[in-house]
Amino acid sequence: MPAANVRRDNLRRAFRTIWSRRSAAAGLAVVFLAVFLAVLAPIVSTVDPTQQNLFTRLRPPGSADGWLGTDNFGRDLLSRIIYGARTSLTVGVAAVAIAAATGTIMGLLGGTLGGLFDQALMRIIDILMAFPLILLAISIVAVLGGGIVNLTIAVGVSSIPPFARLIRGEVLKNRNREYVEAARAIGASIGRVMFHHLLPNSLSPLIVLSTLRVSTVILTEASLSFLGLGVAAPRPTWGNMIADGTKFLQTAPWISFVPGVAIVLTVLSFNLLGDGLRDALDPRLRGELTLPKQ
Amino acid sequence: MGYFVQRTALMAVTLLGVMTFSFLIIRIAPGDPALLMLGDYVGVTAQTVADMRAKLGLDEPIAAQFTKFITSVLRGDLGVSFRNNQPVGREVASQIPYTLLLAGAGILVAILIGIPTGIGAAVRRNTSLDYGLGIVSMIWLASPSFWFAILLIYFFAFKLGWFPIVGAGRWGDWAGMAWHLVLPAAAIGLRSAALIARMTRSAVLDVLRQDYVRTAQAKGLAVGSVVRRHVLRNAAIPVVTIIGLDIAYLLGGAVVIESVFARPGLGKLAVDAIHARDYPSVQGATLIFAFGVVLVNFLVDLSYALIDPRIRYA
Amino acid sequence: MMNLRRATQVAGLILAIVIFAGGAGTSLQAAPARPEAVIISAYPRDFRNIDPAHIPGSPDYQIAMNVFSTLVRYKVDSLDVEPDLAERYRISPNKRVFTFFLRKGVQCHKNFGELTARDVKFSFDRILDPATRSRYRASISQIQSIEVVDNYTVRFTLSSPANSFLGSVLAFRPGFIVCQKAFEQLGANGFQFTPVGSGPYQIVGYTPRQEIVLEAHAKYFRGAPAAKRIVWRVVPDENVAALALQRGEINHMISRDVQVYKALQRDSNLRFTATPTTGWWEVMINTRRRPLDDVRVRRALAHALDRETFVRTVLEGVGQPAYSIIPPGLFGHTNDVEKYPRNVARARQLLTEAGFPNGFRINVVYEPSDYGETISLALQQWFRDIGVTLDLVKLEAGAWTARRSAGDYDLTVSGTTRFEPDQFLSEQFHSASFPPAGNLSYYDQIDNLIEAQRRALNDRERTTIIQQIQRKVAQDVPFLPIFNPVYVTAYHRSQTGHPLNTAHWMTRFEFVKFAP
Repeated sequence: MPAANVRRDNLRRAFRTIWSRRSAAAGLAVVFLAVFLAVLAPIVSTVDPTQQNLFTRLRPPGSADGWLGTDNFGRDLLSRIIYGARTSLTVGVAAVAIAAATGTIMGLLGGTLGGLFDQALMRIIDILMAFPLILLAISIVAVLGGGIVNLTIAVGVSSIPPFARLIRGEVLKNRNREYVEAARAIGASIGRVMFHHLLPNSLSPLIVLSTLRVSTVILTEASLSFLGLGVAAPRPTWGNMIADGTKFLQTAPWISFVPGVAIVLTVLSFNLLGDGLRDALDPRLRGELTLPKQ
Repeated sequence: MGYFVQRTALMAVTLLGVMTFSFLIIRIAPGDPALLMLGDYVGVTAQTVADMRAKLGLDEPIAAQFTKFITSVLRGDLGVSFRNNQPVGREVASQIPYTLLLAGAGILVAILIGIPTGIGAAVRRNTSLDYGLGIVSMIWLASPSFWFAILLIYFFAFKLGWFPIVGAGRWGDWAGMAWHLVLPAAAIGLRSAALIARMTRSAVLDVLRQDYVRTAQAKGLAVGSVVRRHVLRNAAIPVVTIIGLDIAYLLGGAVVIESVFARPGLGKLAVDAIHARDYPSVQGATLIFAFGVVLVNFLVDLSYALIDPRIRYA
Repeated sequence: MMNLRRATQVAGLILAIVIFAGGAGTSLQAAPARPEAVIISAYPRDFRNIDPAHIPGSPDYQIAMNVFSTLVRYKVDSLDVEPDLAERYRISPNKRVFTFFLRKGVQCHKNFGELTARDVKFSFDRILDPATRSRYRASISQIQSIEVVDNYTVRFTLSSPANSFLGSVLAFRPGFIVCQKAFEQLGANGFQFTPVGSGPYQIVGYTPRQEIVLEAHAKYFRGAPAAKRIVWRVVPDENVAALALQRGEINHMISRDVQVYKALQRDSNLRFTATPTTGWWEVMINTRRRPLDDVRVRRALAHALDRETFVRTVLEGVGQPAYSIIPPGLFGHTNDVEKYPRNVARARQLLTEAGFPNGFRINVVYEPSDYGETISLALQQWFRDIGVTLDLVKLEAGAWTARRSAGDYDLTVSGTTRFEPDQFLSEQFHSASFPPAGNLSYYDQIDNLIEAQRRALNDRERTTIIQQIQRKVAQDVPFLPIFNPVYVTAYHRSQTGHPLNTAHWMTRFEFVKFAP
């Protein structure tokens, strides 16, 4: 059977497995909803999330000035939640993409080439791992400066190690399998072996880890916002909305509560989806891949 | 024996790398330590700034600063903090007990809550108990830690008045310190508890599916004693793994929790130092972290061999 | 069912631990009734330096002002200067020679002996000594000589007449008198966190990054204060501090955020002292950047502001719209300046005249502290109304110092409180203070006026010049004052006598009494 068919078959089976598990299906649904809102934000919400109205500030949810109420500047919280989904998910997905791409290449090269090169790469990974993620992110934000792009890079770079380790492990496991040896025997280049044979076989764990990692990144962005290093106003992210809202905990609790619920729901859904994917794509990974932390 | 030598050498290389990395990254970061030390604008002139730079030893070339840093670390000297002129070694050392306390309490909370929850969920799998515990732990995992911490403060300290809010208590007043520890430990530990619960649950499920357990059950042994006999050892593996994975977070990433509760600690020290561009403190704190992380990971690997005799390091 | 019993046991155990711990905690709080005369105050950041030669900003200053005496000091409820260590003083008609006659028998803390004219001379000489590397050396460089006439008489000779010498030097940070003997014993390092003076409180405890403890100075020359102990506990998050205050873990805090104040007001156990400060939160305009170098553009920006609404809504009325470079209450203040009332049409017209009928794009750079972001957000909406796009650039403190030195910003937001007009003018509007110092606007049009008001020989003359400055600055719009803040001290109702602290807004604890 051609490889493409096998993959399509796997995918179908995976989808069926996810669908059959209620929790994973729910996760998938919420993730879809969040992505939908993020992509179609301007259509879904007709209110500008940065438009202030000082005369309708601090309105509770359910008021005439907005379903979810308004914040300190009279900005519509519903609209901010929707646009916040856009920023939070963009940061999440882009940072994970950076981490996954870099980590995968590092892992592939290290695992395939081995030797001194691999040793050096692993030391770099060790060094990155020896820093707590948040500290590493803070240092990188300090170096690059604020802004959403730099923030994404910072969080992305700090998330490289798990990807590099995962892929390298997969490569080491598969390096001596027959199909790889066969490819080598018929003279396939290293690049070809890496990208056509080793990478496809590491795809499942990669997808699982990426899904789970999006949660971590969204939470890290929130923590950085709390420390004053997040995305600059007025662009809403769920993280900076919660951080700003803590000021109003006693007087207008909904300001931090609404984005808090949004974050919990979304992160939860990514985690459920990741779990489902793991069970579906690669039951071996049970216990190996766990949810990372902020 | 060879394993230890090799492992130690690798640790040394990693630590040297960490030192170089932190030395460089904090200097690449834009910002003038002299201006940050000076604070507001009163009396600031070009001369004041130059004076301050000289005082901080920043007028030396970078290479000289680096050599000085490495050689003094080898002599066991981490330099002097820009901010308070105290030896960095002493300052970092003074934060270590708080960090260990918080990390230890966090791990304790994680184990005390995570393992029973995981076992309970596994034994009663697919019941409402299982689902309920699953949902709760998923919510813990999905909450931003500072928000979670502030909500803990709001409900358990402010509304209910059960726990103190600010600080870590006083050395000597052990009950007070323990009391101050509860909420921050919960804020940190509940997340690890959720992870441990999930891993324990699947570990226990795996064991329960094993033939020998089925045999034991068939022979009429109650589930409880089966769990006790076979499961606990298996549950130790996820605990140790989580500790290994989380140690970097527990030692330094807890900075958000430390900030919220106004607790001292290594993470807070490091972040304050980064913001103040206190180069020696940044270098010192990151080195100590890295040392802790590397050491714990080493211990974790060793303990696998203790828990599971099949794992052996040559 | 074994497993259920097991689970119950574990749950019971956990519950038992919690209850036990709960009991322990409760008894702990109940047992030693907190001594009434202890004040525990929230401190917003890490302690940096309390040595008068190096004080970096207001938090450390608020400790120092409770520890040190000065020759003269501000009264608690006005901006008038009153004698402190000096029983009386004499100023020569040419305002260059200041002679102070000291109180006798003033005692330093910790039995370091009597404080005399020699300590006064030492305190200033130390700052002037280049080896000290004091940031205040330039601030007091007008001192030509200090002469110890006798044990209780000290004479300052200035290089030029200085009107503000009492207010902006002697009663300010560089004016704190340290005890020479103590400094010689403790050295510069010892003085950073446990300096020795002769004020109402002495520092008895310093735990890095956690707390500083002051104790009433029994031999304080005005008599030992009622509050016996002041504990400053580091609580970086103001919201958390507010919760701790309501719960009684601390019993004093200074709230700079109006939302925190609003939350605290619901607690009947708390009392408040709201101090209208002689300061502002302001937007500095980088006049070296295009198109902000055009005064018509700056005036257009000013016409976009709606300070009244901002103060009434976002600040909940706690504060005052600011228009003049000299805050109300300060010497020479006048509100009779060009105010640029909100007028979108006029603003657009000015922009068109300046060649920007379609507006332009600029940035505002701010640190994530206090009102930086709040003001930036308000600006953004106001400017949007006149077609100007404002990008918000939030920087951590370190990155900001780099941008500030390089002059790399269009607008920036900051807040300053001072109590002598000359401080504002010299620090933020004299060309000698271009970045990295405080003249972030690069404004150089009033240098001669600033120097003239310093030399003015009588109050009337000085008032005239200062009013002229206010009108001139309002014409040139190098900066946009937004509001004069009101800072609120919140404390437990057992404390009384909290003074207004007009000059400092920070608490001078020697005045605090306790309700019976």
